[in-house]
Amino acid sequence: MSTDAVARARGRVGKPAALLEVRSLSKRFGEVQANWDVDLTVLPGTVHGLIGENGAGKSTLLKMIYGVYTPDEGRMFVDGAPVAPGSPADARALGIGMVFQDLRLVPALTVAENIALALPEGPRLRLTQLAARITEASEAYGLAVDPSAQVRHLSIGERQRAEILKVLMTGARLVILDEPTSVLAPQEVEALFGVVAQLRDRGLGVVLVTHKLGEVRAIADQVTVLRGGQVILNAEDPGNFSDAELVEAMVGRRVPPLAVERAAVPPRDHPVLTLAGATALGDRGHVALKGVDLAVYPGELVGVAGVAGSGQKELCEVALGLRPVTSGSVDAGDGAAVAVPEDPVADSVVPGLTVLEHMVLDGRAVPRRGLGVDWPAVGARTAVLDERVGLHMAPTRRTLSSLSGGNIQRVLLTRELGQDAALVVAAYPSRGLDVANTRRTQELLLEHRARGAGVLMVSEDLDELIAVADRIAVMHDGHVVGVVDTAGADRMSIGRLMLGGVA
Amino acid sequence: MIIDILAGAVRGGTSIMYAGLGETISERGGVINLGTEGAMLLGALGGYAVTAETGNPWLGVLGGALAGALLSLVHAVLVVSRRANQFASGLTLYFLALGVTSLFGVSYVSRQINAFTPVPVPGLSEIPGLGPILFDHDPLVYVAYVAAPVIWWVLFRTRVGLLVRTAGERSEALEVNGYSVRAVRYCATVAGGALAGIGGAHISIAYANSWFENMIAGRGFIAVALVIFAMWNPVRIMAGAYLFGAALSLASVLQTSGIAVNQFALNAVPFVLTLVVLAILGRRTMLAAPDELLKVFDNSRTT
Ligand SMILES: Nc1ncnc2c1ncn2[C@@H]1O[C@H](COP(=O)(O)OP(=O)(O)O)[C@@H](O)[C@H]1O
Ligand SMILES: [Mg+2]
Repeated sequence: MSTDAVARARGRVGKPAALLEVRSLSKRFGEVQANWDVDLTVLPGTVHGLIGENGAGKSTLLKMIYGVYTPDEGRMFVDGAPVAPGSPADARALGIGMVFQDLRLVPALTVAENIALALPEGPRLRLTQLAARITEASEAYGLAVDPSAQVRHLSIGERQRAEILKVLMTGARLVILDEPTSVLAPQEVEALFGVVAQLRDRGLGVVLVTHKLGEVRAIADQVTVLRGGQVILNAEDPGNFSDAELVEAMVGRRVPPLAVERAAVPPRDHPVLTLAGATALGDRGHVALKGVDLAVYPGELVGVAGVAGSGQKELCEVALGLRPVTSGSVDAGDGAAVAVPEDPVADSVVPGLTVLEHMVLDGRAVPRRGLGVDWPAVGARTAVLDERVGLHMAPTRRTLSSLSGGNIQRVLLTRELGQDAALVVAAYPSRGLDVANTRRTQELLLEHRARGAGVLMVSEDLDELIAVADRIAVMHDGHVVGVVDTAGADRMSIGRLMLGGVA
Repeated sequence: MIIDILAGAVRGGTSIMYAGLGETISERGGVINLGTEGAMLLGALGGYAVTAETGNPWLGVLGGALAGALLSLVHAVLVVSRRANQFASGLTLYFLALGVTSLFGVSYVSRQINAFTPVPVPGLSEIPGLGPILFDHDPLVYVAYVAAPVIWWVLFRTRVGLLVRTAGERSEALEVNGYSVRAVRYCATVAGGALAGIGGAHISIAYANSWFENMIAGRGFIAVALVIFAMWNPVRIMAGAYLFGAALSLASVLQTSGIAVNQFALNAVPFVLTLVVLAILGRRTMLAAPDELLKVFDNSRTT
């Protein structure tokens, strides 16, 4: 036996065999190199934090591991044996389970039916029997969920627990959680981490994707940083790095903190937006907004916090007059309003039209030449706008619907936030953006505030709201359950409000 | 006379029930088939022709089912594989079936067949009132009694049903779990067409015992509307189908008992009833609609 082989054998004895080992994985989507030469090693009994900006390639990597995408190049090993999962069913057979960023449960089915879908069992659904097994498992892992509840009626947190339970019941030894915390209240994050720690103690491997450093510090044993599809830090101990170093690894340069100095809110007398007892129906005909009282004054930024689907969308649409109230009143004054919709692709993108054409679809005056639009003038106007806003939007000749979510968001932000209006309504303005553009968007909203506009901003990132808002309105189940002054606000008490408790 | 009307309701509602059950399966799987009327027409002619040629009405039922399945298979190819607009495909197939059956049905007009005859259920048919209403009918009526609960059971208590419902609610969840959305949708659509074909065959070989052009006379469209009223639930389809059967039988009972009512007005009753129910329910039924069906409506609007 050569010394080399002895050394290798000894190395193998010294370390536990990797649950999952990924070598030089690459994946390309058209012009985008989403993953390039990526390595990832997950050991049993550890929590592996995977961090990186939006678009860094985290989801792509995980989907290759889970058999959703086939890698262009590279190899994968489970328990040291080479594998090539061609479908999620293959991956599950290997003991890999994944909870997607956008959960994949079927809303119209019950929890038990959703779990039945994933279990390879006989042609008859034995739902009572399955429900008993679900209850048993949910007690064992501390993942409380009612097996007979229709998923449609569950909160995001409950849905997530159901998904994790499903993954565990299919026998996963490696559990992949893609950004599980971004939609949760702080208490729910703590509970989730309790479960994750328990899985680790049982010897499972967990990959946890996040972009919050605090979460990495709270739970991860190792951290891997992706940037632009490449590994920047590989399975490092997070304790060896400062926050600034980790951010720099994620972003590629230093990001100055948001300036916190800003003018005090002027005396609140003439609101730019007043909701009084506003009640409105959601798209499915249920009451989605329930007697909301809220006022936004010039020169202040009001944040809206809440677990996803608590009525934020309807609140914004009512404020903008896009959705009628069934009772109560809305008064948005007579000043113009600008808006960033919650779902830009559905609400603001016309398939087939270019970026430039979208620049005149905001209801404001358009430069004309004869009967038509003066496109060169629109182009010039847009260039000025892009310069001023500084979000570096895509070339104006591109078809907007062909761009990625983050790029679409930047075009719409440029168009909307480039206008001066008395009221600015922004739903999840930084969704899909990288750190630098998120920062710039926050600055833009603060510039509107400084100019004297009233700003209403919805976000699912509590830290973002605490950083930029003057007051935070917390929503739960269609109600505004509390309005908290940001100065001295406490994450946990806001979290309790989000979950419907009292502060 | 009430008993006559109710017995007629059961008899006349049976074809609508088969078609409605079929369309329920198809729509639960995410495919709307406006060609149901056409599948019924093909089923009526197919059933009639096979019965005429073989002398066996059960083979006629099989022929009707195959004819309906064939039309729906074309629909499935267009909308599942080619992603064509579901409304356009369904309507076009209806007109195609109307033309085809008119053309090839000519030789069967006024031809005699060995049709289904009423088979009173021993014992049960003696019950006063209930007996003649429920238990003195052709065999396809009895099969329908069983079909609705069985289809309910398959949809809600078996894996196959779960797959169909998932295809209609969130098809990507099927893919994630290693199933083929296409395969499930093809099966659901074709099964739906086969049931519509049986419904059509019931008209020609058990109800009217003859073949004539356009003999389905809108029952297929009523069945499609019925699926919405019944909120995609097979058991409610059963109740609704008999309600429409009553509207149909009212017309013929009044006529045979010599009460002078305008024939055209009577023929309009089921459709007026449809409009009234649609107006009453409004968009409420849409709450129960499979999510992927709503996408079909959305897509037809925006792209
Ligand atoms: N299915 C796809 N088709 C084309 N481009 C994609 C697809 N999925 C991801 N991308 C692109 O690949 C890059 C990485 O995306 P993703 O893996 O989702 O990043 P992350 O999860 O880190 O935010 C992005 O630029 C994204 O636009
Ligand atoms: Mg992602």
